[in-house]
Amino acid sequence: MKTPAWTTGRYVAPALIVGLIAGGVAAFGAGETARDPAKPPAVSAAAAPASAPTHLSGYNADRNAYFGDLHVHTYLSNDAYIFNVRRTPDDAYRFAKGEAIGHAYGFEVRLAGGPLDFVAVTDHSEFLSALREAGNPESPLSKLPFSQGLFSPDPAQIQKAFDTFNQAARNGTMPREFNDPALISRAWSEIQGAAARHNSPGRFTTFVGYEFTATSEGRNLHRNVIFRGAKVPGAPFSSRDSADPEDLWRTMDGWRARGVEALAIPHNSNGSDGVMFDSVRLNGRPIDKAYADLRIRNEPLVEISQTKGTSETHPTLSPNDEWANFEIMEKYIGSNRDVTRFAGGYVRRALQDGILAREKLGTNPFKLGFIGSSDTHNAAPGSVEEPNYFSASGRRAGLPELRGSIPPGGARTWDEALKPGAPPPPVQQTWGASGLAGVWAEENSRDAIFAAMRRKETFATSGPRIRVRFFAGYDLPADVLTRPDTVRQAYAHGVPMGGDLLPIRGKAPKFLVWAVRDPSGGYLQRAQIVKGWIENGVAREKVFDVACADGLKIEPTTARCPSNGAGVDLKTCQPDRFKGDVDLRTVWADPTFNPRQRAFYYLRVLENPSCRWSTWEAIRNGTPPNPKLLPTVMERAWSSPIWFEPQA
Amino acid sequence: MFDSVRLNGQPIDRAYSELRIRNEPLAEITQIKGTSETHPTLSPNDEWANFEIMENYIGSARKVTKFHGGYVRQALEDGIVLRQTKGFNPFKLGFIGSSDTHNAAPGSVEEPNYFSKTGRTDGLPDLRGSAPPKGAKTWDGVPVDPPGSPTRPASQAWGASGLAGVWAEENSREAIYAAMRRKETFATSGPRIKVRFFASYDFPSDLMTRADTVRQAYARGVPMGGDLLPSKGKAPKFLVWAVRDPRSGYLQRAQIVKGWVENGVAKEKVFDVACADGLKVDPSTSRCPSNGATVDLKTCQPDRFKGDVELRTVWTDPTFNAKQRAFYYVRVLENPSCRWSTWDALRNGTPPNPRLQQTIIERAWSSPIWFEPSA
Repeated sequence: MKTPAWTTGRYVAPALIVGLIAGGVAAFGAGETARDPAKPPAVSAAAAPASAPTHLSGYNADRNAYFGDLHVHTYLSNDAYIFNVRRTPDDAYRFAKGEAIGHAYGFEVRLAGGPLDFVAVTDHSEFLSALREAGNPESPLSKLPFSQGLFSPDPAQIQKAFDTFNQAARNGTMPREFNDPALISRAWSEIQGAAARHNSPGRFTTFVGYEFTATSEGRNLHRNVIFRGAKVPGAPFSSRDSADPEDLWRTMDGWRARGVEALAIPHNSNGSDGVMFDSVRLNGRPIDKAYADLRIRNEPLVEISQTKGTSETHPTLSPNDEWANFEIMEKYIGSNRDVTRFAGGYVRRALQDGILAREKLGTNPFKLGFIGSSDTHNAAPGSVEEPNYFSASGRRAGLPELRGSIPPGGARTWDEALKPGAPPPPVQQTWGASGLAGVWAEENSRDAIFAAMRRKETFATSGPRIRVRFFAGYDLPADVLTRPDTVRQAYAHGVPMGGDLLPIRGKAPKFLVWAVRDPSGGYLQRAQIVKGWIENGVAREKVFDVACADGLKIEPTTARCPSNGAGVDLKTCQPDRFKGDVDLRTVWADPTFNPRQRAFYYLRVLENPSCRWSTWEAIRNGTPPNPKLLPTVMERAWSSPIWFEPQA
Repeated sequence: MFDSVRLNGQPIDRAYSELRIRNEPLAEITQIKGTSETHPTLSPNDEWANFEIMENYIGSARKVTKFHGGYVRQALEDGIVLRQTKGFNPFKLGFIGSSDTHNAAPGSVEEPNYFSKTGRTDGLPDLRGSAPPKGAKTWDGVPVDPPGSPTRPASQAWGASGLAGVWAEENSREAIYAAMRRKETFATSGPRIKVRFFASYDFPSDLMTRADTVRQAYARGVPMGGDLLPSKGKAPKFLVWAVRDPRSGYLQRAQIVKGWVENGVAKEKVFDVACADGLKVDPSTSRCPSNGATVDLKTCQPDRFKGDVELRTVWTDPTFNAKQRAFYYVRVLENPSCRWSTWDALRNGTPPNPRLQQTIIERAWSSPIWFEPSA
């Protein structure tokens, strides 16, 4: 592999090379300079001042992959606070940079892998920080009868008091002291201050953000709102202002008119019972062009994977996708209620509905790029590492037993726990150690990363830092894969992930696919292209394997790679180290391409199987893995789609 | 290797020195067959000198008898003494590490994934001394000596060590070769620790916190491998910046090793310059307090909550003397971790070889910067 094309600016950026492997994309490893490297400057007292920087350290015209987490809760979120989380936005940023922080259970937690490149703290904006305030014995809120019980030593009392709190929040009977705008203001300032303190252009990017936590009769319509810069409104627009996302988008339009740029990223569509990407609006009317324009202007991305499940697709929606059953979570969010409707709740189907809507309305309301993020409530961005998992909700799921990976009560087998009539298992056992956001940006800065999100040059992973490139073009050079300027050629002759491919009469596009494993993760087993298209007014989908590891060849009749046979030793969680590839690369032509059919294409890259977090915990506990859970996962990455748009 | 006489018996002279340094700007200071930074007998005040020391002739059981001339720190000192007394420095060496693998396996210097380096002769744990011979489950009765006996393979003293690091604009022959020529290189004992090192008289006071740290350092200073010329009435500052390998251990301290000429005699001193875990350098000893990081030898799991991802500082030499020729290089130490032989033993279900150190402190070394008082 010609590594520099990935990670270093070959025009400008001095980059680190250790041994034969290029270093990472951290600012540390590169710094643009106009200095002639062959001539170190003479040093004297009169050394000339450095010229004004044009780019940040690490700038790369071919763009770098940066990894981050855009869904992070701290003690300012009331649910986190009640789960005994006391870590602050500052702590969240410190954790992302590789420092250890304290968990709600008292032990220390730390990322096992490298630091993240960017993070947004996104606390729930509804009654933001109310419990933090109520938990401060100096505060008037702590004296209210309403607050008693919230900080009881008895967890059952706490839960009861918190249920009352949530009930009051829902039906508008919160004591008026909790409506004091000064509360929100203090917390909002704390969020902005932490983001400002930790934002370090070229090294580490922070975004000011918050979560708009709307539900419709318990159906999840949550969004994270991410601001481009330090210019933000005086207070978040929360679901207390309106639970209809359309009002959020109109508010964002208003902010934009005042120079406050933001985007909203919906998540946990899996818990929306089909309403996140519904064909009717919350007010009951069918979606129309104005709705589609309003929505897509404000929501170019979707969080397709996070701890509370992956929303790419559901096995019932994609029965011919053998890998659809990945970290599926079939409950309402924060509830034991079962989801009954999967269409409208999963992203692949939404993309299909979107291209149908494009045909009908002229605008596609679901033209969505992808990210993943953790939704940690432990102020622990990026804590989605299978062998180093501590779930996402503080004390509530902070021990293996509480998240269903080991038998309850110190038992050595699952016999009792699985007997009929045994208490129901914790919902957290179906949560996955999943969700990272990837972006392709020239440098690690708010502007560059935000611009990448706006143009949807983003990708999602289930945790490992797999890097995926995806381009479509009609004129990619025949030797694009082997030449040193692969990526530059791809930008020059194609569109990257997130883009539109327009038709050219008589020509069929080619797709450049390039994936590189995370050296701390598993080896790559296959790269796939997921295609959705319209045929006779009906949306169709198909998964094509496009590159196989281990020198295997795709079987053309099935569009599948043969199995590479990689296994995992479930006694030790050691995966097969000698199967799978470091990088997968191909140029693919769609055998079913039809220039009259509107379509989208996205990339999915699969690792060899590896132990799920629940299996790691079982091994450490010396008990069998929970037989109700899959012992292994296939970690993966998803690129944002490229849309083929037959008519402009 | 770094003797004061030539192979033909004549003393080294300017022509020899120029010939040599023109062709040999670098030294491989660490590899599987031992680390040649320094030897405990040469650097008795360096607590970390005893790292993967290999005291035999190469490919032989014969013992090395003379360490002087065989280790790089001493050679750097001899080099500046020669420069001072005779006007030439034949040992002005930048650093790299490499594996010396004979398995066609570049970079195979990973402690938990080590298979030594000479094919069939040391390809199994008992052949390299990490497991008792002949399937035994203990080391009882395994003779300690003689050296070279089948029970004491030389390869047990070998280390899983040696990577070359370079700072270059791009990954090409030209760029990497140019970096080697200018000695903007560093060595590691295996982990991909990244280390930056610059010296300057004019670093901005906010150097470490600004976005263009490295650009400022290049513009106002010299990088590793370079010469720092004197500036009347000014003392230099040194930028030290190390980042851990995310797949390896956390960093415990960064040090600057200084060698200088005082009254015609070479001296050396190791200064701790940055401590992990918020600890502070004790000025009287120039040492960080211990951070207490340990390794669980039953599992080889290191302490995950001690040590830092990154160490950064701007250091001033408290002993700087503008009239003394000197060199400075950075050494960065990780927390302790299991040596390959302990990993082998763990997998074999037998105790680690009691004659071997169970843990090591992985490290990186920058190339030196030379302070050159007279041109």
